[in-house]
Amino acid sequence: MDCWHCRRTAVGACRFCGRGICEDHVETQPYVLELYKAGDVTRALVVEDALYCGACTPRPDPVDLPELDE
Amino acid sequence: MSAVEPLGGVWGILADKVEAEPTEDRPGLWDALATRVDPAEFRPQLASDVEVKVFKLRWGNDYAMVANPRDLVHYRLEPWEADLLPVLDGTRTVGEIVVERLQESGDLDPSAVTELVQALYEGGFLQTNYRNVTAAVKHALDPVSGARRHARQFVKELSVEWTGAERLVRWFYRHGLKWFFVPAVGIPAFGIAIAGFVAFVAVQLSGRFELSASAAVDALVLIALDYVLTFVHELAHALVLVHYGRRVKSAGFMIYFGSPAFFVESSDGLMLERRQRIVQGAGGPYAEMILAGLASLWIWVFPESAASSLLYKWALLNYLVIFLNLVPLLELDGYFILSDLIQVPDLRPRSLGFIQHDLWHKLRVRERFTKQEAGLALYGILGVAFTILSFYTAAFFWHAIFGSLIADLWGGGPGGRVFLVVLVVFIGGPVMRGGINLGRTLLRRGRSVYRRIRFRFETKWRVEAAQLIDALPAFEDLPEDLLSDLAGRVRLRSLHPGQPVFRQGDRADAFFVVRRGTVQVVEEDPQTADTSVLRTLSRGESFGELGLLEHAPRAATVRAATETELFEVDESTFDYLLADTIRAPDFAPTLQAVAELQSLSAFAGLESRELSDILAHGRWINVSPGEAIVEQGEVGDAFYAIRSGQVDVIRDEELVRTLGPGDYFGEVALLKDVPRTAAVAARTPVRAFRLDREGFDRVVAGAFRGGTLRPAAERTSQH
Repeated sequence: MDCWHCRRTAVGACRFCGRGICEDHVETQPYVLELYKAGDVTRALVVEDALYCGACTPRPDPVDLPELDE
Repeated sequence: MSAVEPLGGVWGILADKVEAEPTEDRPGLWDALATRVDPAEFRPQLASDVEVKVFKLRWGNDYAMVANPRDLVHYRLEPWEADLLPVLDGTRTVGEIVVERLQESGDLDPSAVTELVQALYEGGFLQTNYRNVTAAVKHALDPVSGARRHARQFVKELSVEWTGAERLVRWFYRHGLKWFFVPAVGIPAFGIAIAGFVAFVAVQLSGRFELSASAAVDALVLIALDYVLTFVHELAHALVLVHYGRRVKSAGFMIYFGSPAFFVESSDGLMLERRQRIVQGAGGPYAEMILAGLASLWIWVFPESAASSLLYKWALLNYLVIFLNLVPLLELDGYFILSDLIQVPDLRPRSLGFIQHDLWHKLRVRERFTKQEAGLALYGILGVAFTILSFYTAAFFWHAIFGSLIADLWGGGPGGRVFLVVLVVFIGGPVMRGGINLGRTLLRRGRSVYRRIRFRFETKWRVEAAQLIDALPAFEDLPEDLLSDLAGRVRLRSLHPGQPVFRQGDRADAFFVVRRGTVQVVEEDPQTADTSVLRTLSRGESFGELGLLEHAPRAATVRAATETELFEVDESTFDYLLADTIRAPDFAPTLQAVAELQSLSAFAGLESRELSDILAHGRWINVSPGEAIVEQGEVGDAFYAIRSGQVDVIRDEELVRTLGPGDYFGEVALLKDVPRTAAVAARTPVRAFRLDREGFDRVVAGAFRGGTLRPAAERTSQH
């Protein structure tokens, strides 16, 4: 797999979209593995430095999915 | 074997929804999701508590302010942006708003509308709450205490912010200071300010007091009084805000021009009417005038008192600070008052932008200045000069008043020295940090200027590079703007005899044109390490472009034969500027590409033109061990010549023969138009040239029919 940005050989894949990334273009971003409730507090298991390509757009705000409530 | 259990919970519902067939009434889940994340489909609705105010200015430079009162966030909007706000009522999508705008005003700029809506959403101006999960996670991963956060902020920005300041301001307002807004108190206070200034002038003219170095204790008292002064100044600004019904977002402490200072974050004041803003701007200096007036009246009435000498210095400092604050050449109160008076809110950035970008150009081409440009230039130049003067004046006064403090503290024993160190770290530390940042900025600017100057000296060879590249057969008639861009990006490399440009097997990351000297294209046999010179290239000849086009490793080593200079075009420039301009069918292959092809025995006797034809009808392939190249029984559509590695010829699952470098296969199916009689698979990593049927028929078939090449049947077997 080649890097999305420069077409050099990729060293990893973006955790959020799967694009290939080389050493020069790799970025990191926290990735939420799991959410759970500890009492009243929502807690998250997080990978602090998941690979991120810098090209895709992980939305910072949650998207409503009312279809799942029907 | 167990049955698969159905998924439960939200994942089960999700699986059901995904599997459900979409109908007209009920779109599929993915369609619904796609609509929801599409900015054009978003239905923005302005929150009910958002405040909008349009400001009409004399010069037509109208603007609007919008405030989110929950978080005290303020945006300044262009008139067209403000016109859009009423339609953000949740009934229209962003796409529909764009179309409406197009119909009404003829403007079609979807991204401007989308960006405005996104900014309003993120600023909390919309009914839909913006929750930034990424920021929340990052914050949770790096939790810091309030004290540490403030300490970090101080080190980084030389300021500390306190968000609970409004309560204190309101307390002062309720407990007495509101009377200053009533004429019965306000007018006498104004009288004190004026009378005090007159008294100070009289004291100054009397020559009774002079600015001399203070004793350490006096200096420390002056520092404390200076803090009181700035505190009162900022408190006055905040009181005006509260008086007019606005809010104080925060307050804090910062180092400004090397001096400790308090500040009030009064962005809510941007929502005030013009006259109220002028009052707010004048509030700080007015409060200082009252304090300085009181001090001056004291020293005028009681010149012999013990405090008079100190109060004189404090009053002098006060008037200096008031002067600096009111001079509209610094971005302080006076500037904002002037901006509101003349109704030009961005006077300083505009004037600084003008002298930074347009002034030199106009002077160079001797273009006439308009009245407005002359005003901008004059204001900008005076502003810069006055800023420098302010630094000098501040340094002079600090030295005159506090100069002896350092000597006294240093000579005052261990306690004094520790106190001095704390004082230097507290005041001088951030100043030094600011100085370092200033130094870095100047260094960066210096480097940029150096690069620009160097670039000018390089014009000659850059133009030469563009001319040479333009003259290459592959890049005929390149547009001028492209050549100009290319000239700016090309690099000049110098090599000594024997020095490699790149080595066989290297990743292709640049393309080269020889400017001076000669280079040799050298093939290295990976097994025997023997080398042979395929070609020598000289001025005007190029190499390396095929590797970039095909993303293939370098097929040969290129080495300088003499003192050589090369023009180098890096991969990104090549992809950006040249890759699309190569007309592949007409592209004369580089010599090493032809030489590499010619090194294969199947093509050894061909002429350059025929080799070019072959390159146009085929490509190099790399095959992994075990991978099939040809299957028995399939229709033959290509001929193969092996460059390196070994292949197995297998018929009916039986190994017939192993072929190696220089061998070829696949010709029998093409010559006799029969299915493949054997399979061919790579035994080791193989690099081979695959020639399609058309190319084979046009160039190579004749060699077989004429007997120059022998078909495989005559060698051992068919495939």
